[in-house]
This record gives sequence, structure tokens and C-alpha cells, in this order.
Amino acid sequence: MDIQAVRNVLLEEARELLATYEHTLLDIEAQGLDGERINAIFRAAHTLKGSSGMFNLQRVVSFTHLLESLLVRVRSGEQPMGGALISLLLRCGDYLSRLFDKVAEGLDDEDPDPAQRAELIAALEDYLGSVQALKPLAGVPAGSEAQDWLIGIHCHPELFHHGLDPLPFIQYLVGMGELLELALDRELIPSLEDIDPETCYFKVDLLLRTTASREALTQALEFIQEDCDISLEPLEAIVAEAPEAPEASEPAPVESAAPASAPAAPAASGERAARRDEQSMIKVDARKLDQLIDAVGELVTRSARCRTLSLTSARETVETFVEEVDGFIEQLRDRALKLRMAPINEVFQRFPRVVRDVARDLGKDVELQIRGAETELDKTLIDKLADPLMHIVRNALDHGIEPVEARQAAGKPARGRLLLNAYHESGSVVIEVSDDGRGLNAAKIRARAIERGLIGAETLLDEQGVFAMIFEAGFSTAEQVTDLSGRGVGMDVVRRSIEAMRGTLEIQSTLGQGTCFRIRLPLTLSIIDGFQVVVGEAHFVIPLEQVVECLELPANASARQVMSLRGTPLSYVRLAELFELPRDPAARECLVVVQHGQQRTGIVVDRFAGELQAVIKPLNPMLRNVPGLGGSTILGDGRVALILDINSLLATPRRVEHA
Amino acid sequence: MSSERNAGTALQAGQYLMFTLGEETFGCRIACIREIIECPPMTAIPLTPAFLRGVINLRGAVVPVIDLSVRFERGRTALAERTCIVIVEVAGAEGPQLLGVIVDGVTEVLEVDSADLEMRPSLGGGIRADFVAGMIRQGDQFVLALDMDKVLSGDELARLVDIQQQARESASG
Repeated sequence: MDIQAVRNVLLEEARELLATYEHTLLDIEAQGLDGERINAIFRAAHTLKGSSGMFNLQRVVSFTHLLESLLVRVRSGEQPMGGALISLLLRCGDYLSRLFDKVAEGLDDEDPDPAQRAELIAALEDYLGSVQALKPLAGVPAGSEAQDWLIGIHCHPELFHHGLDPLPFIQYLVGMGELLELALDRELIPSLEDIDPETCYFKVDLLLRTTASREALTQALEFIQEDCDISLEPLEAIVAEAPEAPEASEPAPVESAAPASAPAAPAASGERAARRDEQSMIKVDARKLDQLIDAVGELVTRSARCRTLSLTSARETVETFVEEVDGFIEQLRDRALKLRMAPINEVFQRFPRVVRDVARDLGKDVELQIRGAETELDKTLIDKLADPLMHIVRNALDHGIEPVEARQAAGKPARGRLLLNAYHESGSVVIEVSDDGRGLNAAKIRARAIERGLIGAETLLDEQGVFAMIFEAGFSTAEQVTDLSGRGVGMDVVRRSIEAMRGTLEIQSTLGQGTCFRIRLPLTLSIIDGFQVVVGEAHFVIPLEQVVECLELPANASARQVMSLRGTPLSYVRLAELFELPRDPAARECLVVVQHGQQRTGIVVDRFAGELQAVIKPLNPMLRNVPGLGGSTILGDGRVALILDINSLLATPRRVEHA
Repeated sequence: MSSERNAGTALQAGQYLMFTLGEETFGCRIACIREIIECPPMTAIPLTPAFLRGVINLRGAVVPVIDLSVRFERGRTALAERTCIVIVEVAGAEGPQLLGVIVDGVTEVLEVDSADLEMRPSLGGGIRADFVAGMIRQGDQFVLALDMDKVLSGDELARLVDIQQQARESASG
């Protein structure tokens, strides 16, 4: 049994639970308390406690125990939920995340912040009242409400395979009350030589006297309920008497337990169904996906090779066969890629908290709206998107949205609005961060860019060009440097990380009305549809989504690097000149019109070699800063072709023009 | 100082691959060598220094190929029938990486005892001193043993590629 793998599952689960915990708290803050939400929070805390108990993570268990005790009182209505309590509960969640970070590092016994722990515990205990807090969740049966329960636990033989151990659950159960009787069914345990150490032979019946409710008892066992037959029967009739040993040790038949537990069953099964629904997402190890995608990539390459061969052997049957294979491979590719796709909500979901905290720190009133959270894109992109997006959001909160007084003075609603929006558009994903704040001041940015020496005083720039200046290294318009942003670092990093994802960044802004940052990303990093071009003997691939059209270069166009395309001027560059490559003197030059950001430019090559599916192979780190290169791919004949990164390819000469 | 120490670790008894560059024979510890292949079609990378001959397809992986002769400031290796590419694994900032090295020919794999190893001379026969791990005695001759982690230092190669870019940008600007 790989304990580390099971721990990883625990950690993954803990992170998800903490995320649920947090966003539910924020929902409560925004939309009010209801039974469903408080249950969700309680369940998260409870589950964390239970699974941490299995790994003997005492720090988590004791902390979540307190948290849970407080949540019980919120749920029962004894403790009202308010802003201060929500803040405390959020901070408890943060502390737990940090505890789990330590667990992830294998430092189970280390407290990330003992001072904070003490402070949070004191605050929790304040709410609980000191007496209540020190009591265990369910103490020794006290008085009239105590009841005797006959609990049968019959473990399935494969229980151990699922990384479970029934003992802690039983110990936990016993801790909830007074154990009157315990009987193990020894018949089921084979003789020593026949024992399979990986099989669970455990079947036990307990007679427990406790004040805990059926629900509490069920919850105590919920982690093993899928791997055990569990029966739970109240023995009201014999509460007063001393329990009879034979009755207790008699294995409680599962069937007979069914009617007794019937009242609780619908609720429990409904809850379970809901949970199963939440978990209908299967977690797959990213490496396995990579391997699958690699295999598909190889297949795509082979198929291209196969097509090349079929052209030379010129047999119709081969061609038909190849076409079939192609169709199949395309399907396989799409499916494999879909496995990598995840909803962008994975990154969006952290923003309610960020916006809340940052807005509070800044003394601003901001409402966050999220749209298109279900929009899917490549999981690796989602992970890489988190930091740049965080920076843009913080920037919008800090510099975009004005303080309440300023907003009111400008005749705007006091509450600022920040919108996170995601949608698909022609083969890419668009992510927008827009605010209704003060907007960008083009004149101010221009002045600052000149002052910082980023552009010359005479440089002509359109509005987009001016806005793009804020992404230059060493630029900051903030008159007042705040803790959050405006340190002049960051926006250039944002641009670079977006470009590293083969994405683009655009700004739309109206002074006084707001700003919209628009990030455009490819759907996936693994395979692109490409357009193959040739210069001399070198083959290059242009991402097809950027190709607008292809034409022959008109003979009269060669004088200046501008031609007329249906009446519109189009500037063009020769790839051979950009890359200092020998041209094929016999070739008639062709032109590929590419779209980059909002511009179109022509790229002149010797000839076109058609469309292809390019499996992107990353380039060695030493080649990462070579302008114009986005990666490489393997062609049907086994050669390597370079994939052009149009944005960086065309950025270089433009900068030269400005200088 | 630190290169002295590194040279010490690179200079170990064991198997060495002997290969030729031009007229000269070199040795390199076999531990870092993954395979030796015939020279496949190579794709040049535009705007990069001359020591980077291009990239090759090594069973689906795209591997840069370094011209050692250019790296040693001796001019470009002409591709001939006996030209091979030695695939080596070197440490990089982002974990081990594969690089190809063009050599004019591979002669043999030699079992070298520590008695046959000498510290490197202060002047490395026209080769940058830190590229040389030491010398291997072969009869009455000495062969330079290369320190491949130095020769193919990912950091240094990347810096050279970047310098080339900057030089180009400022030249055109």
C-alpha cells in the first residue's frame, strides 16, 4: 500500500474542502446564511477532521474539532453568524491551508504559525465560551438523552486496498460515548497460515451508550461506509437493563437494520447523491495525461509520415486507409486534449476572497461578478494564469476602482464593480477583467513613458500603443505607491507570462468609465493546427489561427515594405531577411497575412506547404529568448520544423521603427 | 577555486569515450553519454551563435546540437561520412537535459585507471582551462579529458544565445 499516494489524496481533498469552505463563507457573507450553506461548511470542517484523524494529524484534528464545535452552534442557531465571525472563520481556513502545506512537505508535526494558532484558538474559544470549548464533541453520556445503539460494522475484504483502516473509526465512535459491549466475529478470521495480510476480515458489533444523534454516528462512519456493511440500531427497549451479551454479540443482520435506519436514509442518500454528483469529476494524474498526449502526438506524426508514403506509392487503397486513420487520430487527439481541459473556475474561484480582502484593506466597496466560469481551457494554462490574473485584479482594485467618495463625486454608484469574464472565441479563450473605475489616462501614461525613457517625445503611438506602455518594465503610473501594486514591478511580468503561454493582452479603457484587460489564450499548449511555409530549405509552421489569408506577392510591391491589399495598406516583412536565411532564387514570393493582436502584417516566404497538425515540442531553455520562435514540431518526414511565435517575431522590427 | 574542485570530481577513473575533433583526440567520461548516432538531418535555428548547429529529432524529442569545434574556437566542423552526434545528458537549471555534440569520429571506449589520469595542465592546449577536467595517459601521449558539464553548461550557452540577440537588436536599432 502506497501511503504517500493516499496522503496525496487526502491533501487534494483537503484543498478542495478548504476551497468549498471558503467560497461558501463568502456566499454567506454576500447572500446570507441558509441551512444548505452552513451544512456545507460544517461538512467541510467535519470531513477534514475525520480524514486527518486517519493520518493522525493531531494539529488539524484538534483545531478542526474546535471549529466544528463552533459551527455546530451556528447550525443550531445558538450562535448568530456575522461579519466578524465570518472573518474569523476565513482566517481559520487560511491557517488550515498552511497546516496542510506543512503536511504536504511531510512536516506533520510542524506548526506554520504557533502565534496565529493560539490567537485563533482563543478567538474560537471566546465564541464557544471556555467551558463548552474544552469539552470533547460528544462526552460521556449525560443524563436522560443517552441511548444505546447496536452498531454492526462488517468490513468488505478489499477495505485495505482503499487505504482505509477501520480501527480509528471505531476508536472515534467509542470516544463518542460509553462502550458497553464489543464483539468480534472470530469465525471470519482464517488461521494464521491462510491469512492474506491485504484482506480485511474484520466484523465487529458494538453496543454503545451515547447522547450523540444518529446523524453524528453515521457521520463518524461515513468514510468507511462505502467499504463496509454498517448497521445502526437503537436499542431503546433495553436502555434500562444491563445489556445481554449474546444479543449484543449476535451479528446484526444488515436487512434488519434497514427499517430501523429508514427515517434517516432518505436524507443521507440525498446527501450522498449530491456528493457523488460533485465527485463525478475523475481525477487523473497529469503525468498520465501527458503520456497519453505524447502517444497521440507520436501517432499524429506517424500518420503524417504514412501520408507522405502513400503519396509516393500512389495506391488508392492506401490513400483511403490513410484517410480513415487520419479521421480516427483526429478524434483521438480531440478526446485526449479534452481530458486536459478544466473549467476556468479553478482559478476564478479564488477571486471572491481576494477581492473581498483587498477591497477591505483599501477601504473600497467592490462587488465582484463572475461570468463564464465553466469555460474550459488547458489545465496547464489554468495553473499559469493564476498569477498574472491575480496581478491584473489587484491592479484594477488598487488603481482602477476609486474610493467611495471619489466615485460619488463623479456621480457613480458608491459600490465599484469588477467583472471576471471568460468565453471561447474562434479557437482561443478570452479572459476579461473589467472594472468601472477611473480608466486609463493616455496623456499621463504617455508623459510617464517619455519621462522613463521608454519612448521618445516625438514617438507616434495610437491609444493601444500608449496603453501597452504600462506593460513595459519599470513603468508605474501610481502616484502613491501602495502595498498592493504600483511598485513598478508586475505588469511587465504579466505581459511576459501571458506571452509565454502564446497569448496576447489588450487593454480597452475610457477615461472616467473603466478599463478592460483582455487576455487571449490558445485552448491548449500541446497540439496546434499550423500552416507550413518554406524559405530556402527551412520549414516553419505558423499557427493557423493567426493566418488570415495567403496570396502571391504582387510584383510591384517590392519597392517599399508596404503593399495594397484590396485598397488597404498592408506592411510586410520577408522571413528570409528577419532570420537571415538564404532564399530560393527560383521561387515566386508568397505572402501569408497574419493577425496579431489587432494588427495584420504580411510575412513573405518562398512557398506554402499546406496545413498540418503540429505537436508542439518545447525548445531547449537556451533557445527560449530567441525572438520569433514559439517551439518546434516534427514533420512527417522526421525533420524538425520551427513554430513561429508571430507576436515576438513581429515585435522586433516594430521596436526598431520607433527608436 | 571552485572550478578546481569541479575538475576534481570530473576527473575520475572509469570508462572514457575517445573521439576526434579535427586532428585531435579527446576523452569524456562515459557516464554522461546517452548514445551515439549518425548525423540525422538538422534544422538550423535562425539568429543563434555558430556553436549551435541546429536541432535534431531524437525519437520524438527535439535536441539541440552543439559544434564542439566552434565552442573551442576552432572553426566549423564539416559534416562527413564519419561525423557522429554524441548525445550527452548535462545538468541544467530545469533538470537534466539532452544535448547533441558533433564530433568528427568516435574511436573507442577506454577503461582508464586513476594511475593514468593527471591533473590538467595550466595551459590547456588552446582550449579554455575550465573545459578540461584533466589528462589521460595513452602510451606516451596525453589526451585531454573534457569536463562536459562545463563545455555544455546550459547557463553559459543560454547566455551566449542571449548576448547574440542583444547584439543583433542594438545593431539593427
